[in-house]
Amino acid sequence: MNGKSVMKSIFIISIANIKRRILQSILVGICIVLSAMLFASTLGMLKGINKPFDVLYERLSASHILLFYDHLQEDTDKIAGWFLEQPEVKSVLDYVPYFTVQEPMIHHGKELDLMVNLTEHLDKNLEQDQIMILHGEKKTHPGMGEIWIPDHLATNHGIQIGDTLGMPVSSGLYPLIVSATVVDAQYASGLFNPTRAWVAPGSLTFYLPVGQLTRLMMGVRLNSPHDIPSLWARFNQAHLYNGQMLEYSLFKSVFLSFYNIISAVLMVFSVMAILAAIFILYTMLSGTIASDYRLIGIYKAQGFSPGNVVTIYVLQYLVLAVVSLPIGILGSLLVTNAILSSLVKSIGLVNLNFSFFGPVAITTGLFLVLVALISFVGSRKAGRIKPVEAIRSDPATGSYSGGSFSWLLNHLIHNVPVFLGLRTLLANKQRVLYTGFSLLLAIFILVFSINISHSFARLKDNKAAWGFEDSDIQVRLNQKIALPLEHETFMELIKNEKSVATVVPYSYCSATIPASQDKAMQEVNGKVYNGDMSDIGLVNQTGRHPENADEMALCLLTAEELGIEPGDSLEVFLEGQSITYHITGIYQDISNMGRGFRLPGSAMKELNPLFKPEFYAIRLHEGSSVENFKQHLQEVYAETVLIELSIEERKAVRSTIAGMRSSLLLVSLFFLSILFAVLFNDALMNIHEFRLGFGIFKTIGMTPVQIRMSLVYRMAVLTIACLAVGVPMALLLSPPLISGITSGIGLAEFPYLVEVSGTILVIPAMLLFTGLSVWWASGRVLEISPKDLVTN
Amino acid sequence: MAILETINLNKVYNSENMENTIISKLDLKVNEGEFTVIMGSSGSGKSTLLYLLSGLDHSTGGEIWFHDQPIHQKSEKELALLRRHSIGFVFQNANLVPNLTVWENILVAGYLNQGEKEGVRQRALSLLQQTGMEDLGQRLPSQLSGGQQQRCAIVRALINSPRILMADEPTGNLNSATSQTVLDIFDSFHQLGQTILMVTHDVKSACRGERILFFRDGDVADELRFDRQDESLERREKLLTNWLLENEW
Ligand SMILES: Nc1ncnc2c1ncn2[C@@H]1O[C@H](COP(=O)(O)OP(=O)(O)OP(=O)(O)O)[C@@H](O)[C@H]1O
Ligand SMILES: [Mg+2]
Repeated sequence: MNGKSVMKSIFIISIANIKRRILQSILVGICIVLSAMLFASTLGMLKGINKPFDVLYERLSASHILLFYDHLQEDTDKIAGWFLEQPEVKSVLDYVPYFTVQEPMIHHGKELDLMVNLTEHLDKNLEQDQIMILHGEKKTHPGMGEIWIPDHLATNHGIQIGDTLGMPVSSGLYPLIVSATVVDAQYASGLFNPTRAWVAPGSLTFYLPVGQLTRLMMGVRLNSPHDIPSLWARFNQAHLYNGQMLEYSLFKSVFLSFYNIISAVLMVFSVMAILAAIFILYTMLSGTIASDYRLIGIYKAQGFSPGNVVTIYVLQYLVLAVVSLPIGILGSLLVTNAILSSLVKSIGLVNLNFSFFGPVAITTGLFLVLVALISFVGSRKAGRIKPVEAIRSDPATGSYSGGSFSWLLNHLIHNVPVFLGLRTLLANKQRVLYTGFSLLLAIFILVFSINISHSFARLKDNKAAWGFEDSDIQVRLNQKIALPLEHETFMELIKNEKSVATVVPYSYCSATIPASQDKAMQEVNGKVYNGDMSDIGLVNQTGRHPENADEMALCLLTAEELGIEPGDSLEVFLEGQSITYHITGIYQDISNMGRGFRLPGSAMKELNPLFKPEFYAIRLHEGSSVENFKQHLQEVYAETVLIELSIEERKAVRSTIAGMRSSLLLVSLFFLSILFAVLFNDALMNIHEFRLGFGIFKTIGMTPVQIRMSLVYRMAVLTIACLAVGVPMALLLSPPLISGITSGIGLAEFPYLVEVSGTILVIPAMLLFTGLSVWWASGRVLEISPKDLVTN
Repeated sequence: MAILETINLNKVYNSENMENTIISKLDLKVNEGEFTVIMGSSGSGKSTLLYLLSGLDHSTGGEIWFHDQPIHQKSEKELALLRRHSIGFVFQNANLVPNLTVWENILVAGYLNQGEKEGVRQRALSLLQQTGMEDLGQRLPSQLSGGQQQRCAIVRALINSPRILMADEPTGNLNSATSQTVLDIFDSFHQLGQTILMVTHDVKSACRGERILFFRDGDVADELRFDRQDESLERREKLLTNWLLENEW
């Protein structure tokens, strides 16, 4: 009974305190809302992101292992039989004929940017590796002359149902009519190249000469994807398999790559946001207690115990948390749902409910505990305040540090607002510290975001650092014409073009890394360069390019997974032979998720004397126009040469970069709004602390504008100091920070480019932002109670 | 019967290596039902004494007994509880909580002690009526005159029916007319049996008490007690003034 009514007293005071400092309370609320929203969204993303892919995999009964092989080299029945006997295996899709279209398919005269595996859609596909039709007639199979394409391909290229896709065959273009867009579990991502499209059962023999149709695909579905490595290792002990293999975790990591990066970035930022929130709440509370100093003495004289006083503040903050948390969590549900449902929609899943109970519960619990803890620790000071000292203190003089600053006024500054600004800045060092910290954080995030965003945008000028050839243009010889150009002839011709600086021919190849004790056999895609790799800008993280026939460079994650360093050697199967290579260097390459290898042309020549490069990376002389050269190529070489889309022109890459940049923008805006909350609070606290001083200055003729300007000057000085520290700090620390985030996708050294103009622009922008915020905040206060300034 | 008693009480401030004895070997008794006044010059330690007696500050020696309870031995928490039930405090400044209305200021103090909400409300209402504040309950302190603020502070101090009401220069900030109304309120509560201990250096205020202690050099130097026949204020004032002159105060 007694305890209850004490709580009632405390509650009345807490609520009154919230109302009395309504603006500050709103700022605390905003702070909680924003950081809880960011945190809950991150958790929601992390939790929700795996589900769509796995649900899709389940619903379509997708194969966990896909084998691609030549039926002349492998025995389908033996392989399928072996898999069926294994306890981990649920079912086997014994074989499906497919054909990799050697040239890009054509839509409305334009090449598609993904290569296509034309695959026959058989009756077996109604059981395993099912296809979900998103748009178009829901038939059992595509009809003759029809093609089903992945929905991402249709969206990225604007392909409509009924459009015709031209398949390059030796006689020209074979038309296939798009009758449906579909989702295919393994190939649901537009980042996967080649992708897969479906045609009528038995139709490949109509479109293509039988001699080319030797490729088969086999699917193995397991009870659990965890069993893949051990199963695959056993398979390789039992069979000498020469084909390719792709598996679940690769499909999944490609599918989730973009979302994984976003989640990682969000995670880093939400940790920062929580730290910022803790800091802000704590310092706001300290400021409040300092200004409530005398009041607390009076509470104590009335018989409030130290514990009661602490409870007043804890309750006050908990009430704010309880009000703000639902808003933040609701916001996060909206954000997460928007992101995830865009993901879900893109793969045609409906009725997919995400349970956010975990993230919501964790966020709620964490924030309530944090807020209670912060307010408890922060208000213990209030509990310890000695009542007599507090009561005796003059209500007009706060408890801020004194010191003589008149020398400033006497010798340096004759402008009263500027003096007042400096004086107030120096008077409360603790608040300067916390406002300064928030400023630093915002400056850091801003500079970070600008430069990271810029680094993504400038991918095209910095290709080598991302692992791409740094060429101006890439071409391919058209093999589908009556008289294709010979490699040697083309090299002669192109080298003599006057705008061409260097040409490095290259091609893709795939190697198999044999199984070892603890690792399954692995298929790795690499590139062979017939020329000096440094000519097209390629670089290594460590070591050097491979030059001799027995040398090889490895991509970062492949090397990491195999535990290989430059100087080691590695045995691989290539072109049907087992060769041991000396590893000369390690490089990074984002295009293949950090996996792959590079070989010099001489290595390939030794294995296969007839090997011909497929692509030509061409670098023009300084100052030559790429567009002009393209035109020139088309005029002179006509149909013998095909121009490739450059990496930055690829739709999937572009949308990934755009997504990355917009999430950075969002995060920057988030931190700017936190900063605004801090500045606002800072201005209010200042006015509160110096209200008597300002009142007196007002009575001696200082205008409200001058008072506000003094606060603006104060903030300007602080902002300049923080810029001087924050900008260089951000420039220095951003590369290791972002590299830490991206090393998981094979970028151990993020290709960091500084945008000088944008970084410099941060300086006036921050000054303007802080100045305007303080000006606005101080205006509000002067409006609300001009009388209070003079009359306590 | 003594409600408050000090035995050999000491208070020494240590500031800048200087020992400053404010109260030394003070033996003091405050009787139940009496209106006791402590007079003394500025800086003589009157406020310090009140803070010690109410447990807001700690002594450096000696004992303080509130009834049968040793204040000098109690913890912070016990002292807070004691103040809640048994001691009302009125300051020179009203010290109202600025963001609470008059009504809320009083209820908060009342709820702090008593369980029964209706009882607190009733008592608050009747106290407000007794002090002529019944129409001002919904005002904020900043909307009240100094005298009204002080009356509200008195109501707040009395809401828990404390066994003793302590007042430190309650009229120090008020003009003489306003002072009289406030002092009349003290008088009327004393008539109803309220024990009051008031500190002042103002003669007019001091006359309200029936027993006046003169405080000097950390101890009670003298004492004046008005007799039953010294009823009228004028007479008391004259007596006190003469006494002060005679004793060279
Ligand atoms: N915290 C402290 N440290 C040192 N000395 C103090 C402290 N608080 C009070 N004093 C000193 O103790 C003495 C008594 O102060 P106190 O406030 O009790 O006087 P007072 O009799 O109430 O005076 P007034 O009539 O002016 O209110 C003063 O000399 C004062 O300077
Ligand atoms: Mg005093």
